[in-house]
Amino acid sequence: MLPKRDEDLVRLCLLGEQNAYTELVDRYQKPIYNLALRMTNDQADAADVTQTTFIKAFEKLVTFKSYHHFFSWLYRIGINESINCLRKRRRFVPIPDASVSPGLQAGEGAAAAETAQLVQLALMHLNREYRLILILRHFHGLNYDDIAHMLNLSVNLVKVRLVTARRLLKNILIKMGMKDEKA
Amino acid sequence: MKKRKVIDHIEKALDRRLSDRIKDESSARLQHKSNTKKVLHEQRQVSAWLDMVSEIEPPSYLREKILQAIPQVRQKKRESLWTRIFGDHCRPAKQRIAYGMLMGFVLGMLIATTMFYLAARSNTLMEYMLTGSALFSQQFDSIESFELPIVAGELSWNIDSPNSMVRLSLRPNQPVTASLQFNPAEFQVSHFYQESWSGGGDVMVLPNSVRVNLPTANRFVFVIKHQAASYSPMVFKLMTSDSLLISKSLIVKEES
Repeated sequence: MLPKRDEDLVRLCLLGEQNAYTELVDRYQKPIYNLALRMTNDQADAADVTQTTFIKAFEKLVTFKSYHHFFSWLYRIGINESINCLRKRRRFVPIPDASVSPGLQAGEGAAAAETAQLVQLALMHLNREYRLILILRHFHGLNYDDIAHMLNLSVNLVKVRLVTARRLLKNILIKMGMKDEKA
Repeated sequence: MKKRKVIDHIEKALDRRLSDRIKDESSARLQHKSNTKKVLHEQRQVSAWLDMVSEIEPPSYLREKILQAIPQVRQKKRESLWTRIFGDHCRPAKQRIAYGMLMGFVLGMLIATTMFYLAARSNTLMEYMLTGSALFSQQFDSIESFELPIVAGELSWNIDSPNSMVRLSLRPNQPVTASLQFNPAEFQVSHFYQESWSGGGDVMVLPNSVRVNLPTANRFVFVIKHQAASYSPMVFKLMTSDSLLISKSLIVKEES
């Protein structure tokens, strides 16, 4: 049997089919969790954000317009929840969570894991808008149109922000001790 | 290259979406544009670093936690109207206010209904309104008199006169506005007069209506001539300064 489209699952869910929403949770739990994790850099916060995102999406499911992609609608809720979470803890100094990236391993893997950890830390020093755009593009592989739609920006502005975000991230990483390979 | 084109080019290069021809062209061009080349290298480098960040599996308990929360949301949504006001989680003060408001509303409705019926029994106009009975005959081929608490008058249809006319005569005991709307192709205001011109009386005649502000205790008559074989309903309205007393649709029909 062909997998059902998101929009079909939403429709079934609105008709009271409980398993439909379970399938949507299974489909998008991981991306939403990772989005929240990269935004908040905290596993507990990410889990809370993921849960709240799915609950809010369920509550607002009737307002979902079928001509939108479900995932971009859900991501938008996830983004808002992540931002709310960051606002709540704004007064606290962020403590890097070592568990966000895999721990150090032997050999080549160790270097990669260390880089990943540094990148995550550097991301947290980026402005929220730039961090978000990098997360959506690089970790979720969304195309420019989807990002533009999700963030309510033009496609060109998305591209400009991406270039700027990468440059800023590089500067932060260099400051954190990452080796710059000259062109 | 313009800045936007450079950015577009960089993004395409990072996505490996450039065709071989464009790649060759751009690499040749980039030889002369060291700055663009530098930016492209920088962007590639950061992209490679970002690619090293792997996806993390969510904790195993999360799925169950979400799915357990959903039925509660469903339940909460179903009960929300009642439970939010009267539910156990409400503070006692809030509950008392809610009960008070509900009781107030019920009492208010009871009082309003009682007063409405009492007034209806004692008021002719209200009785007319409640029963829906016509104040005037739908086919008035003779004189129709009416008596209201604030206005007395009659409406007549003089069929035997040389020029058939509708005659409306009113004598209010408090200031009142009367209006009669009609189809100008069928009716025409012939003339109007009042008992005492010193009493005032503001008359506005339009092609399709006549409107009169009548002072107290002054008999006023307006006469409308008909000029067609069949007639659309006329609308007769009586108003005080703040309320509409009557709005009737009158059908004028000659008896066969």
